[in-house]
Amino acid sequence: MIATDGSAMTEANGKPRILIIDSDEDFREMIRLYLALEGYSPSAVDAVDAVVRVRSDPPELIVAEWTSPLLDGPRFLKWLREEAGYDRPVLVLTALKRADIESRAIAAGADAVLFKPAGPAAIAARISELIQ
Amino acid sequence: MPPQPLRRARPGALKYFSIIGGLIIAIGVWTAGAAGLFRLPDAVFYDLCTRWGAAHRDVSNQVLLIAFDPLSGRRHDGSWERLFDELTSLGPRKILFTFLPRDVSPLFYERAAAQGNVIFGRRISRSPERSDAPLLEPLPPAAEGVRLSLGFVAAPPADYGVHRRQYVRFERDGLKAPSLEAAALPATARPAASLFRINFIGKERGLPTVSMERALMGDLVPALIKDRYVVIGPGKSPFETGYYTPVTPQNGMSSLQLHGCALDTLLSGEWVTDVSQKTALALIGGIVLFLLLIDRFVGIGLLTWFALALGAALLGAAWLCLSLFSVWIPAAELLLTVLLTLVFILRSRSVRQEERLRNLLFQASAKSKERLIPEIFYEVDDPWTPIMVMLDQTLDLTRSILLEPFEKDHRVREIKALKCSIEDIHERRRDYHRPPYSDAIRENGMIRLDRRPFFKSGPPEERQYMAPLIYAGRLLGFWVFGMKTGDGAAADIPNFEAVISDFGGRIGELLFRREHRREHRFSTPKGWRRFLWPARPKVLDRELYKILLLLERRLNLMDAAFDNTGAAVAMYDHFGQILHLNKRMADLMNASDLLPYGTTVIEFIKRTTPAAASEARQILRQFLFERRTAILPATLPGEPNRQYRLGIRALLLEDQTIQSDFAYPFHSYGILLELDEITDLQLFNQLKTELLNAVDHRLRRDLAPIRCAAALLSRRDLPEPDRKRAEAVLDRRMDGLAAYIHQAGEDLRKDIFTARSKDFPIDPVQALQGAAEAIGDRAGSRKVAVPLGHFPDTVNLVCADPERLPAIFQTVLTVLIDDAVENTSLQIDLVETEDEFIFTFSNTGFGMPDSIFKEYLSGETAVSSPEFQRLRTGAAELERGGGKLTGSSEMGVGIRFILHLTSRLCTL
Repeated sequence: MIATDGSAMTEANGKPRILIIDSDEDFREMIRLYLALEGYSPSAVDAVDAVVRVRSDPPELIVAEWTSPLLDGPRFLKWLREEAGYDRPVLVLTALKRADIESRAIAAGADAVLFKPAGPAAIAARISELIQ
Repeated sequence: MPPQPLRRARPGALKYFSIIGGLIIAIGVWTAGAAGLFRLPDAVFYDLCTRWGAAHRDVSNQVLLIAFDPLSGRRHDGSWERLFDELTSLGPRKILFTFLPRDVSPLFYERAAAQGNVIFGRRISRSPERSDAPLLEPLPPAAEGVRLSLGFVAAPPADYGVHRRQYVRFERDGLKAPSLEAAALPATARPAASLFRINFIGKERGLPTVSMERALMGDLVPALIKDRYVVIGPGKSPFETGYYTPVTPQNGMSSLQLHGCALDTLLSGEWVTDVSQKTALALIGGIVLFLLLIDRFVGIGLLTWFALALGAALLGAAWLCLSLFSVWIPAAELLLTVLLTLVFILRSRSVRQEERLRNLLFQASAKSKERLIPEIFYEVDDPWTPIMVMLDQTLDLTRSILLEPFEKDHRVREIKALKCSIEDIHERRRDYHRPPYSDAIRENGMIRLDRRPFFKSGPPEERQYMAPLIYAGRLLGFWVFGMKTGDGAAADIPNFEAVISDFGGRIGELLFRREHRREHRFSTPKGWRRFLWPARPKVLDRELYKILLLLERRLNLMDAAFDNTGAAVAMYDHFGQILHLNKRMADLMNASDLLPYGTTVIEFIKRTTPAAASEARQILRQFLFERRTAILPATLPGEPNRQYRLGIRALLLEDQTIQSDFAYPFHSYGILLELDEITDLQLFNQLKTELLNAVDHRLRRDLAPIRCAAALLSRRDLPEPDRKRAEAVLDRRMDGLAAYIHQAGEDLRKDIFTARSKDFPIDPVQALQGAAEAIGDRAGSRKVAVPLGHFPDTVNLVCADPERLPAIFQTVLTVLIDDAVENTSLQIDLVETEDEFIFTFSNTGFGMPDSIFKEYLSGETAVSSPEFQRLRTGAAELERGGGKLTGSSEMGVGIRFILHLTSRLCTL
């Protein structure tokens, strides 16, 4: 349920809603299962559905891939912040290990960056930090 | 081990040669002088010195001569008495008559005897019966019974027609008496020898002479007579030649003058003595020793000057000794000593230098040849077998024989044969003045022996050949061989003649060396013959020519090797100036606007590497002091896309004379720069890096779900259906990852330099960026922008040729730029999907009808535009790799290309 005052978007049962945007279906499924067991309400989409989902059902936190086929991370973040008006935390999770990725992601609007293959516990812990 | 010279230098032996040679010269000259062999030249020198000596010397005032006309006949008029009276009244010390006056009275002689100071000369001549018996002039009747003072008068001895000496006494056959001149002196004042040299110095005009007529007239100056020795005798008649003396070589001196000079010499005690034989030997020995000593310290030029100066000094000394001390040194012998010693020394030096030169050059050629043909080649018993076997194995010969001409014959003889012998050659085919030898010489190359059989027998399929063995313009032998014909026969391969010519040249060179070595060993004289037998100039010249030829060949070989080496090499001296560079370096520098012979080493480093001038100097300092090798990345001006590796190291040569553990055994002769192109290596490294980055990304990506699945499986609260799903993800992703890693490993192991296919997983964005850089100048000149900075980060690779894909991109960009309107920008977009890259290129340009454009791009008709030809080729290549190139165009709008590239590793 979406609160009208813009406060934290949670399900009615109090679990924060997390949107996972990743092109890897297996990863989406696994991390969703894990985060669900951790008490979150995760949903996972690929790049094609990401824009629609964010507009229609903005989550409390977005875990987004930096770059993948059909998803240009910098452009997506820019759209997210400037056009979609999304002001919640965004965690970038990427397999592209380069020295400039973190700074570019932060500059583009991300709140944190983790590099794959970060363990699900670490991802959950980071999500918890960002939500709090 | 360094090559050993054929003949070692033996300085000790040569030193003894000098001493022995000097002794031989000294003793030889002295002996010849003592034997009188130099009397004539000695006499010539003596006469010259006498004439030149003391020209200003005052004439003696002890002797006065009174001369009468010898043609006047006997005087019966009392002239002698009157003269006697006239003279005695003036108080002379002695009066000497060179004759016994006949037409005088006994009173004359009695008065003369009573006077006590009158001496008469009595002639001695040879007996007509006995050649060695003296004949005394009979006393005139008027002198019978009178005790007169007599001195004997005889023709003075002559040496080669010149009278230089006079008798002191006669001692022959019991006759012992002083000469007229000696009789005027007391016995103790006379010279000890029986002959003495008259001192003619200052007497070229003769002694003061008064005519008898004047004396009889009483016109004598008393001062001229008093206390003098007056000698009276006949003057020289017009018909008389007189006595030739050192001072009167043209006109002879009268006997009166001669006696007067002799008397004057005795009176003054200045008779010329010769140095003793011992002294002569000492002088000769001293000269030889002096020159041999000087030889050790000065060069030939200075030595010659010394010898000339010594000769002049000896002549001067002879003259001075004669003039001042009345001593004659044997000038001719001494001068000859100087000359012979000089010749000996020059000859010794010549022999030493000749030997040194021979050995030096032979060592130089031997040293160079040892690298190619060890000296052992000539030392072993059979050096030719390995060569013949090698020829046989390389060329697959049926038989082979090396022949050389007999030295003084017209036939050939065998050097070495394989699978045959000289007996297999017909007798009448062994004359090298006739065919086929003359044919081969005329062709100056290999010929086929078709017309008549050369060997006595042989297989029918055998083809026989003959090649002359020529080196340095000389015919050294012939190589005859047989080869099989048929499939794959070596004789049918291309360049067969060139190959045979090369082999023949090398065999000829071996023969040349063998002959040269033999000549060097046996033609050089040994021992004393080296000094006595001068080397024939032609032999030495020929040897020198051969050695220089071999050295030249070695230099040419080294030059060829240096120029044909793959790397570009330059050598600099310690001052950074160019010494030598090979052809490749010269070409590279010329293409890069670097002056090959005008660029110092620091400038070269500055302009080709990122190092600044200070760094370049630091590098050279490290190199010079620490002998460290430096390797720097380099590019050449004007070729930014080609990568090089510049190696800087010392040009070292091991100095085998240095034995110390502390001394550095290598001498640095300069700086060696080596420029190796590593563009391909760099590219390959870059490709591997990109592949590894892709592998890294894929690993990370695939490990993420694996890790999540593992974490889920470790939880007890995972529902069973989810557990199964996690297990399935784990299995699937692990298998997929393993397969991917295997495939990536296969690609990484590929060597694109040697593999048939140059395809490799490459980043297409990098390829596009490389192509854009390459056409940067073209775009700039057309003022068309090529923006590339907006591309997203890509993670996949495509399998393509690392050089062909950029070339395709470059061609696409070129077409767009050439069609674009100035001051516009190309539009380049990239979309990366799971399976492919999609590049879209478009411009704002003139365009062309779309149908024509499509026909150019992918039609069947021929197209003249090289860009569209390349596009057609590129499109075909892309299709083979699963890609595609399409395009469209519109008049007045522009051109558009779409390029699809499949994302995959090459081994997938």
